[in-house]
Amino acid sequence: MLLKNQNTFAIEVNNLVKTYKGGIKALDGLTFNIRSGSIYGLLGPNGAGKSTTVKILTTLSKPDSGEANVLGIDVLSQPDKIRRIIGCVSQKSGVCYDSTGRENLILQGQLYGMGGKYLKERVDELINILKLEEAANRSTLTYSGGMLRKLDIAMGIIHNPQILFLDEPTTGLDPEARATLWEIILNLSKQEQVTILLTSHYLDEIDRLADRVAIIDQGKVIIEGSPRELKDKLAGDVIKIELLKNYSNSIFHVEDVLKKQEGVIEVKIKSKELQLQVSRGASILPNILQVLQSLSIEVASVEIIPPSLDVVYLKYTGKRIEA
Amino acid sequence: MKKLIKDTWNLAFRRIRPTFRRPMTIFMSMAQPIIWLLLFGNLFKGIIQVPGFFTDSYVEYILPGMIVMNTLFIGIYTGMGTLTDLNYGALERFLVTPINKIVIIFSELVQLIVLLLVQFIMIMLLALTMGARFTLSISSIIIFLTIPILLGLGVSALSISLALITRKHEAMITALQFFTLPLMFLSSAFMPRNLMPAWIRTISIVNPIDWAILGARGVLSSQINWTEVITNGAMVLLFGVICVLISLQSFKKFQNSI
Repeated sequence: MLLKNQNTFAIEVNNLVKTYKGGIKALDGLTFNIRSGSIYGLLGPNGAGKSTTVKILTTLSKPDSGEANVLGIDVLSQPDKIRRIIGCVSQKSGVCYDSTGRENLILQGQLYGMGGKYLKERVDELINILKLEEAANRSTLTYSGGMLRKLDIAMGIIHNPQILFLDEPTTGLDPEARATLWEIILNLSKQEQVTILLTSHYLDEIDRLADRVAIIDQGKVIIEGSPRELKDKLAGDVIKIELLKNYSNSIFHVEDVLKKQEGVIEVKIKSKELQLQVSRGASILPNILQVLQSLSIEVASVEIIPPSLDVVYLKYTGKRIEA
Repeated sequence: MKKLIKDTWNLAFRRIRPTFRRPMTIFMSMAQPIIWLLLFGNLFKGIIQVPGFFTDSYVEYILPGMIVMNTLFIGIYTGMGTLTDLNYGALERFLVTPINKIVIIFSELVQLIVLLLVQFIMIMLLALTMGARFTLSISSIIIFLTIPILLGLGVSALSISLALITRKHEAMITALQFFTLPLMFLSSAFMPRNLMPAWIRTISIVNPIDWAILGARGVLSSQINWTEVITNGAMVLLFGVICVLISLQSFKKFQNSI
């Protein structure tokens, strides 16, 4: 069972339904699977059911119906087993403020049954990896938002979990702190093969980190795929070509020729600038340039603009992401 | 079982450590009972002349009441720690770890016991310097400390329950403070039952605070009335157990609401 799951899915979620008091339906038949060792992004507006999903998978909360497995273990019937193999960094920090960073880490390790020299070394290792050396022996009251988040992540992975849940890990952080955390998260996935479920508000974060992403709204998965796939389902990339001079006479001819090329969806011309809507910018570009050359049109600069998840998000949820 | 005890101690220690790092907080939190002991004890020194007071020193008389008052005033704030954990996310973090859930409540009670023991010793020393004298055996010292602590455990368990139900600081503290001082006056803390008006005496009979005071005062007298001590002690124990059960139930309810 376990062996099978190592090669297939680390997390399987099937048809989860959860209604809170007052009839608020948080989850309405949520279904998705996460491959071992991958980063899976859950993207959705506030109240879409992201945090509820994390709470159910981390045994904090119970669904009304549906199934959830982590590494083949049933979350509902064997929560104690689940707690040993998962790590969780929730939206709220969870740091004990009247202790130092090191004391927080030691306590967290002890709760997982760690102790002695092994725990001490692991704490030192984490402090080192997350670059908290300077702050480790200070009260966490003095920590910045970014430092607290790093400490949270360190606490979440102190017991070397195979599965890590990150519920909006970078919300409210400055760009620099976010970039640092992204690097840490990527390292965990690529080097330590940790399977990560990441929920986020930030499209760039999902785009950068997630191998696959599910957009959820009103407790259901609306669309799922790799960020690339989702963007491809839209109109694709935009190729922006700046011309050396104004080819006002021959330009309409150019437009016709370009439109006939494979993969080109739309062509817009504005004096010295060509804008092509294409399915895959990188593979089409050489052909486009060749065509232009054969028409003796000189190119000054070329730029491929990938579609943003923003557009994907807007299309499927009908809402703009609120930052 | 071993892990249960270890986890409880480790979680309790995270609260005990900061308290002892700032010893001032230990003194500050026991300021009220000490002031009462000093002022009330001296102001009403002469009250023992009243017929019906069977004691040589008023300080000695109110000492058990002040010890109990201290457990009350400290105990009602236990829920504040739970609320902080709840609001800052520490509670959720603990719930995701492989610990038994009752550890979370028990650790709060353990840290309370440690704090109270330290404070009791200080209050006793103060009472001694104020002229109170008692002959205590080891067993009576243990009972003298245990009974108020049992009451404190009950009160702090209620405080935790209230924190988990209301989830608001103000609501919780207001609710608890509303009861503490009146309940002190509805007990034999300052005046023996035989000198109370009849209606207060009736209330004091069902007041757990008075059970604790009578039980603790019982072991201080030169001729210990063991039936009285044991009856009152047992009732306080029952009160404590019921309150802890209530808090475990509220915790379950809280978990279901996540």
